[in-house]
Parts: sequence; structure tokens; C-alpha cells
Amino acid sequence: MDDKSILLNMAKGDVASYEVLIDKYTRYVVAIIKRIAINNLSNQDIEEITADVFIKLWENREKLIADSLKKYMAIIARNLTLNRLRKVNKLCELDEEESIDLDTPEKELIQKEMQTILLNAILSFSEIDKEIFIRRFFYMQKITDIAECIGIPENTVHTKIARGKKKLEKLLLQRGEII
Amino acid sequence: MKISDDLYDDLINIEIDEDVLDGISEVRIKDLALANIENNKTTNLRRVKSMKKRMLLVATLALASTAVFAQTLSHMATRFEGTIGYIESDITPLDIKVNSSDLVMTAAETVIGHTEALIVITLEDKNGRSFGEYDNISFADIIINSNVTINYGYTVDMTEDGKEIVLIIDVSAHEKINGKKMEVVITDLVDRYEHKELTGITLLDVQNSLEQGIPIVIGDAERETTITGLKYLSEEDVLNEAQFISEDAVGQIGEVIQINAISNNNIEERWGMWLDFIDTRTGEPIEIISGGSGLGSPKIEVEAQIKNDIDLEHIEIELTHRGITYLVEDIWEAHLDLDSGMDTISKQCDIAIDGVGTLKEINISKLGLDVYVESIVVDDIDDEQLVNSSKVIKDFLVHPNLSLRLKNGEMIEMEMYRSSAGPDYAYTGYRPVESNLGIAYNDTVINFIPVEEIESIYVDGVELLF
Repeated sequence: MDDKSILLNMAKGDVASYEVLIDKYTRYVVAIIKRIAINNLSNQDIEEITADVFIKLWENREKLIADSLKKYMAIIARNLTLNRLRKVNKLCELDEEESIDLDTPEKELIQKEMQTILLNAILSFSEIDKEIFIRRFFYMQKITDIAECIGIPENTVHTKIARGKKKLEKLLLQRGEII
Repeated sequence: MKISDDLYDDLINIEIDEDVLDGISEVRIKDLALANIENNKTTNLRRVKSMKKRMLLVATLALASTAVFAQTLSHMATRFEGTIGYIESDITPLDIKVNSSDLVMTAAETVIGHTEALIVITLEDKNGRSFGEYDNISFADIIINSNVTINYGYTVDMTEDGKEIVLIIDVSAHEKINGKKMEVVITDLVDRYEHKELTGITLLDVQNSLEQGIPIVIGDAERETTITGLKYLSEEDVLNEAQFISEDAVGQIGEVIQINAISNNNIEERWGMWLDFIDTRTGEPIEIISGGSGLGSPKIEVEAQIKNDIDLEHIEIELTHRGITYLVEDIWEAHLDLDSGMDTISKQCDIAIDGVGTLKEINISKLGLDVYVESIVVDDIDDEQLVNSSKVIKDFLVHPNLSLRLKNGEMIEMEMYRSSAGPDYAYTGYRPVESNLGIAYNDTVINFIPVEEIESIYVDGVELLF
């Protein structure tokens, strides 16, 4: 059954199609949660977050569009994972100026324009810098976790974030944007 | 990590490992996901119930598996050579939690000074397995959780027969340790592999080659790596880094060169590549400022302090290929309430440091001596003055001409081994260069201070009597 049929049936309240969706995307959702949480959540936590992602999909089944299903799942999985990490104090503490809105997926999509500007700036970074920046500000990972994942010293991560922020600031100022 | 036109693309196109569901119950996920829609219950209710069940299970396991280590003779007393009697009464055992593999923690002990502690942990295989065939045995991760901010370094040793693994952890804190809690968590016994290769290629070769658009390849066939870029960073970047890298970077702004390279071979997960730069005139490595290679990633980026580009012809590239092999996958834990530290003597003082700071306090225990320095806060200080003040305090702390005079007239020279600093203070630790009291295990030597014998301390020529 393709995603379009699954969502169409789910919209009519078909639980069997909902089960098909769970079977089809459990591995995908778990992979996303693990990518963001690294080793900071238990398997039980991962199972519960995964279930919550599917419940959210069920709750919004009448609004879902097949083409953006995977993205919607990614957004929900990311936000629920960050919320759980925050609860168990495994989330990095950002400075005020670094803080990122963790509101609804809808709100994040509205912010897409700003996101695109930032993303284009990040694209000019080296591969390692890009990875550090995304892990820090998008996955909200701790410096120690980033250093461990990438295999570089913590000081280097600090340095690269500082340099990256400076570059972003410069690029956005040149474009007349304000961080 | 690939990043395309949308931040979420990295997640949407995530590569799903075959073992992604290892340890994960698909049945439970489905059960939770269905139960909450069929019965119209909230997930929170369900979760609380399952969490309660888990907590009970954890509590039961903890009761059943936590064993208090007890023995009449300390491990340090039986394994370390030297004047163990001097610290025997200060040795405290940690509680060891039972682990799942055959490699078990057989002893965990600590000696706590004022802001420092020494922890010794031993592990042995229940069936007498020897790890003697491995050259660089270590652990994938060692974490110390504590309610005091600490730094630590460690060494991993083995007995000659390779059957006992000895982990020695050197802990230093930013404040008094006594009265705090500590939890040591060790993960996975591994063998670290490292292959170093002097390539015969200089930075000048690289520069010339890249200028002609010709990629330059270094390393033997197994580790063949292509240098893809060489550039000097701007002064602005370097100045920016100086605030974040380390105290050493302050006031040492020179030219920084960045080298990018890519391995031509598959790099397995947990393996990485590294570049060093050796000055062929001295044989000494050039200071690396930052850099690295993502584990499992073929890309390398290294930045080094190259003060003069005429030196490029004398700087040869050294290629390192390193990684780990897992020997025993497990987690070993030991816990301690640090409610019993050794006696410490303290001295309040007021020694001026060139008008930029004041030495306020000295604390001495058998394990080391620490000094507390406050910098003088001046309004409207400019960046240059700030850098100069920091340098004066740093010079004082690194070379304080610090020595202890004993009652019998003997002098003990001290050397700095750690330092931590805030915006207006520095906490720095010193240990004896040599001492008549000390213990040793293989290459690890710890010199003690004969605290009871101290008559006075000399700080930069000033004598303070105790």
C-alpha cells in the first residue's frame, strides 16, 4: 500500500492502515530519534517517543499529505526527542543568543525563509564545520557529544562554533538581516 | 552528514542502519501507538504506568546487584610500590555495581586531597582471560559524574600476565572535593590502534602542487590520502579563535595554516585519520591549533601554527590512522560519597602580582598544593590591557617559584600540573617535582607532600610560615 492510500484510509478512521504505517516507518522514526539523541536516551524512551510520533500522525490524519509525510514525521520526531532530552537534562544549554524555538512544526515551517538564509550561509562552511553547526543548533547536542561523535577535541568544537557564529553574523549583516 | 536545501533533508534522507532496532521493541511501540488511539487514553497515563514498572525493576536490580567492596588490605597497598603507609588511612573504597560481562571490577579505591583525588580501579576476567596480546588497551569512554566540576586524566595499565587491568584516574576539581558525590562510569574495553607514517612530503611540496592544480597524494597504499587544500586563515579568524581555544592561544597570534585532505580508502566507523606537521630541523611537531577527522569520515581538516611561510620546506607531513577494536562491550560503574577526605592545611595571604592580581589562599594536602588567585578588576580595560594582564597572571602561575621548606630544612620544589580560571580568578594546582614520599605503578608515579613536616612555603621569594 502506498503512502497516499494509507493516509486516505487513515483519514476515514481505518486503524489497519494506521498499523501498516507504523510497520512501514518504525525503523525510519527510530533512526531519526537515535541520530538526535545519540546515546542519551534509553530504548524505552525511544520506543515511547516513536509511539508518540505515530499518535500525532493519527491525531492529524485528516490533514496529512503524502508528499510531505516523511518530513512531517521528521519534524515531530525531532521535536519530541528534544523535549524528552530536555526533561532528562541531556540537552545542551544554549546561551540566550543561541536559543532556538522549539514550538510546533507548523511554526517552524513558517520560519522557512529565515531558515533558508541561514542554511545558505551554513552551506559555505567546510564539511566538518557544517556537521558541528547542525548537530549543535539543529539537534541541540552537547559539545561533549559532538566532540565524541565527530572524533575531535571539545576545544575544537568550541572554536568552530565560535568561528561559525561569527561568519553567520557577518553574512547576515551583509544581507541586511539581523540575528 | 549531507546537508542539502533543507535542514530536515538530512533527517528525511537518513541512512538507516541494519541494526537500528537492536534493543528496541517494535511490539511495544505498536502497542503504545494503538492503545492510545483505541482506548482514547493519553500517552502520559500509559507512560507513567510503564515507567513505574521500570523504576520498580531498576530498584530491584539495584538492590540485588549492588555489592559493597570490602577487604582488609587495600588494593593500592598490594599493587603499588612505595610509601603506601603514608596514605593507607586515607584510602576509601567505592561501591561497585555488578556488571553483565565476564570482565568484572574487582577493586575501586580513592584517595581524596583538597581539590584533587586519585582513583584506582581494577578489572579481571572471571575465567582468567589474558589481554596481554593487545598493545594499547583502553576504554571507549570513561565518565566521572559528580556534583563538583572536575577535570580528569587517566592511564590504563596491565599486569605482566595481562589478566588484571588497572585504571588510574587523576581527578582535579575547581573547588573542595570533600563532601561531594562521585560516580565513575567506564564503557567498553577496547584496543586502540595507531599507525603513524612520516610521508616525506613537505608543506612546500603541497603548496607548489596545489598551485599547479595537481592533487598531492600521501601515505602508503592502505592509507592513501589526497591533500585537497592549503590556506592561511585570516587574522580575524585567528583572533576569534584565541578567545576560545585555550589560555595558551592568548597573546600567541601568528599565522595559522589550514590543511584539508581526504582519504582515498573506506574509513570504517570508529576509525579516523589525522595529520601532524614535523619540523625536520628539530624533529619536533608543530603546534596543532584545532582540527580532526570525523570518525568513519574520510575527510580531514587540521589547523597549525606556522609562523613563517619560509619554513614550509622544512615541515613534513605525518599521517596517522587510528581507531579502536572492541574487546569487551559492557558498562562498569562505581559510586562514592566523598565524605572522608584527608586533612588539609590552609593559609590565607595577600601577595600582589604585578598590580594585576592577588594570591589570596593556599591549600596543601598530601596529594598536592593549590593556590587561589584573584585578578584585579579594572573598569574600561581595553583588549590589549586585558591580554597583557592575563599573560602576567599566567606567567606567575606557571612559574611561581613555589617551594616548600620542611622542618629539617629540606626544600621541595613544586610544579604546576593543572589550572582553571574564571573571569576574575584562577585556581591552580601544583605537585612536588620530586619527593621522598610517593607510590608508583609501572610508569605512573605519584609524589606526596609530607604535610606534617611543612615549616613554610616560598612564593616568588616571599616566605609564609605555617
